[in-house]
Amino acid sequence: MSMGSRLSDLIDLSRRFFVPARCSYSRVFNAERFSVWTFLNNFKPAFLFFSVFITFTPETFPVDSEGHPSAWEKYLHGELESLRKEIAEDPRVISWVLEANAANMKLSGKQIQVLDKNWIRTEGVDLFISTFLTNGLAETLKEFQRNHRSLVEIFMTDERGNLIGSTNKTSDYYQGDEAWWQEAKQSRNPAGFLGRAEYDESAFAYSVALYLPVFDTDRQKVIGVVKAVSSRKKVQGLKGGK
Amino acid sequence: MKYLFYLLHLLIPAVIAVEIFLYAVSIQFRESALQNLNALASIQKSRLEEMLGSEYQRIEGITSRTALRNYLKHFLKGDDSLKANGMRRILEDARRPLHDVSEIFILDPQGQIVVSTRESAGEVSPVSARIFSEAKKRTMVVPLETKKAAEGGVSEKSLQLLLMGPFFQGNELIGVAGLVTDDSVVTRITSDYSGLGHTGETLIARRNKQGDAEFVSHLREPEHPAAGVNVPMHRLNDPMIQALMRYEGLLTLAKDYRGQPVFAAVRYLQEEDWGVVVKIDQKEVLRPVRELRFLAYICLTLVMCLWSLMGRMLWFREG
Repeated sequence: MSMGSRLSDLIDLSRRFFVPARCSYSRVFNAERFSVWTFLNNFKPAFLFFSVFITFTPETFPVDSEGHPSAWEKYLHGELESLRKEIAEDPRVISWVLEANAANMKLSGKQIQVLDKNWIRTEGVDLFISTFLTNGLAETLKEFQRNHRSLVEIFMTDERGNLIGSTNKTSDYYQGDEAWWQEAKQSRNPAGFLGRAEYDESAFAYSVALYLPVFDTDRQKVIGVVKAVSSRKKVQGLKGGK
Repeated sequence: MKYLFYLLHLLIPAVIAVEIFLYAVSIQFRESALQNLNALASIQKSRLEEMLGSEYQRIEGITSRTALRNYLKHFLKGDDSLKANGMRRILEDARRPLHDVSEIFILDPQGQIVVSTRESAGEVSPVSARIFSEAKKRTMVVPLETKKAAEGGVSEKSLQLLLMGPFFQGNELIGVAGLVTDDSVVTRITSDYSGLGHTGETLIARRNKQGDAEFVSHLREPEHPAAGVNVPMHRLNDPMIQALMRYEGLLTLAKDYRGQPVFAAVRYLQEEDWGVVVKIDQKEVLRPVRELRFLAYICLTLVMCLWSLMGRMLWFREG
């Protein structure tokens, strides 16, 4: 084989590889016209579709890099069930919520706004905030948390969304303006529901919120809402962590 | 007089400008110190969590020994000294490679001592009823405060860690294991002052029976009169109380156990109900600003003197 023919073969080969595609599926497997570029280019619509699909598909629950989604979800449903039985249906808790509702009834919208503003502005925990972290309800929530160690935060609001007891200082006092709170109250689903898995960058871990409406003793009226946050990191850290 | 008034006219805006500049600089210093403290607090918290994790594994290394569990179960059925000797042998074997462990013991479900690596039962580390009832449910780490004789016959406070965990045979609780170690791990974490200047430190405290904060770590200023005193729960401006209130974040208006204004980053360890505080004196953080203020006013005075000298010369020449 002469040098010239080798060179022409090389040119031909490179031309085949870099020849622009004509978008026709019938040409994909045409050996005469085949090149990596044409091959990939013909799947462009599919790539486009999948990229759009991946971008706009809501984050599936729960997101887990280890590939055990159902185990975590099952675990969270178990926690939600415990929260319902041990907290939302506890007669003591119901009476505390009813008491708080009666007391907070006197608060006007403006007063709630002022309390909320002060709450957000306060650095750390002051006397007002500490009353929500040390009352009977807060102690009950902490006791529950001691036995459910994946829950990093639990708090409860009254029927208007005012905080009435919490294990930690929440970011704000008034929760009634939050979408999850309205959804939890309006859903009237006694079993509650799970939020979406969210990545907490400061804790380097995924967490999921558990929402549950609290009903009065007749199970007719929603008198409050309870929210708990479960950390994936803590679940893994538990003995025999699911 | 007119000339002095003219000088004052110049001085007031100059002072305002200097103060605004210094305020901006102090904010910069404060922010960078807070950022630093926040990062350090997160690091110290994860180091402590890691430490707790490995301590849990150590105690589980004892409670998961099948031979020990079998011996214990048989021992509980009838008082058999041979079984106790077997258990002691296993505990001695387990203790030998652990250089920081001074004692391993086993309690029965009623809290009575079954076996210990210490010679006599009287020497066994005390376990309160509250700790014992908690240890029946889960693995835990409890700081123990002991007094040891120091040079000159004066006894000094020494910290030890008591690791406890339940023994289960199936679902049945058959005992609780205890392991006493020195606090070298905690000390290693808290005595690391990198990035904390001359007054910064990491503090760890637990809640005592009264709900007050009781330090479980060595303090940087142990000779300070407030060092050995618990911080009462009502002192809400103390960063440790904030931490035990489960607040996690930054504090700029806090005063520490010495009553000094500090910048602090606080964290809470849910597993053991411990508060973690990384703090530094405000005085130290803002010292460069004070020095800058001193320098700025010296410069201002010099400029004013020069200005007034030049002004006077011109004034009198024209006059």
